[in-house]
Parts: sequence; C-alpha cells; structure tokens
Amino acid sequence: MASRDEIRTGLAEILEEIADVAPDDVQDDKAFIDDLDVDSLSMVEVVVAAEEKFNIKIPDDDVQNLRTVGDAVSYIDKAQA
Amino acid sequence: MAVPSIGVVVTGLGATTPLGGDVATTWEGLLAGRSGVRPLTQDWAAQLPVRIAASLAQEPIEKLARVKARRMDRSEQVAVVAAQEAWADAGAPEVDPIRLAVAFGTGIGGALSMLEQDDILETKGVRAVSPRTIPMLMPNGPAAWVGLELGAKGRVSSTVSACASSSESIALALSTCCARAGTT
Repeated sequence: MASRDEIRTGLAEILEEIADVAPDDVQDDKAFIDDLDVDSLSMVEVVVAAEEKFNIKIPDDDVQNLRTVGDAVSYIDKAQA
Repeated sequence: MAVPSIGVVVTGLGATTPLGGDVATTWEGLLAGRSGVRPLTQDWAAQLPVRIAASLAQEPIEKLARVKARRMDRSEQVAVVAAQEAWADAGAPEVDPIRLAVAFGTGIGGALSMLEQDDILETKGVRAVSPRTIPMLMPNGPAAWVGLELGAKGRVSSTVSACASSSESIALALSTCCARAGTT
C-alpha cells in the first residue's frame, strides 16, 4: 500500500504525463483546475489513470469533491485501506 | 459558373510527406526522383498481403509539444505540422482573426484514434475510453486544430472527399475568399 508521499508522487507523474504539470507544483494545497490549470477533460483522464495506478475505483459522484491534490491524496489513501 | 474576379496568392507552403518532414526535403526528394514507398514492418501489417506503403518520412510528434501531441489524432498532428510550416513560410503575419479562415481536406480523419479507443473499450471498459475521443476522430479535427493553433475565427471548414479532399479544400478556400469579397 502506497504512503501519502508515494501517492502524491504517483499523482505528480500522472499529472505531468497528461496535463504537463511540473512535478514540483503538485502540493496538497494546490487545486487541480484553478492552480494547476488541469481542464475538465484532462481531469477525467487523470482520474482513470489514478484508478489504474493505485488499483482503486473513484465513482463519478466522488470526483467533484476532489478539488485539491490533498483531497485526492486523502481519498486514494482511504480507498486503498 | 462565374469566373472569380479576385486574385489568389500563395504566400506560404507547408508539407510533411513520405519524402520528407518539410517542403524543402520533399521538393529535393521529388527532384532526385526518390520514392517514398517503404516496407511496413509493424506487427499489424504482418497479416497484410501487401506490406509496402508510402508512410511519412518523419513522425509528426517530433515537431510538436508532447502533451499537445497526445491530445491529437495522427491526422491532426500532420495537419498542424504542415500548417505551422506554411504559416512560418508566409512570415507568420499579424492577421485580424475574423479575417483568417481555414479550409483543410482529409480523406478519413481520425481512424487510428477510433480503432485505438475501440480496443480500449473492449479490453478496459467504457470508463477508460478517452474523453478526447470525439475531437480526435472527427474528420474536421485537423481543420479545427489548425484553426485553434493559428487563432482563425473567420471560418474553419473541412472537405472530406477521398483523394479529391485537398483539391476541394482549395476550391472551398477560394469560394470563401470570393464570398468575403462579394464576388459570388
């Protein structure tokens, strides 16, 4: 099971691949859309990639609550448990 | 049909072809009588009775930003690479976006993306299908990307008519100019 740091690093790899986000910018307080400039289509791709990478399911209803990197790290951390 | 009374000036050329990744190399290859036909060595071609084709000499992704390229079908990548060269060749002029139009022909459009996403649908399920599938497979995708890249807001149109697509797109461009000039 991945630690919070490993989850954040994994997310940074996904965000760099899909949306060209610099890994150093992927911090817990950063909002995907407002701060990291990830558009809504890219967000869908990021969610699917995260599901595959961390072997979890993120239902569509939950995606809208994942506003920041910290939200996503916490969600994935809990979903792995 | 009335003969258009406006003149047409070709101000820039762009190409990425089986002979080269730009106009200069393509022209040089033509003058040298080189063939752009080469063997198809990919796995998917192994079952084909004919395994030669005039495939591109240079992969378009070599000339595009990585993330932008992954959002495009190959047909769109090729269109943007050629259009960027033509635009640069024309001196990348400052143009009022409303007066800038794109007419771009394609035989099929994003067939590769359609096939790839269908494979993903079959193997990984519907959630894994890219949300960019439609903009990648639609036949007006190449024209749309060129329009976005150049900031064209006049008119962005595609002709899809097999081998005549490019000829028809030139005719469409001419009729667009004529309509603008009020000659038809």
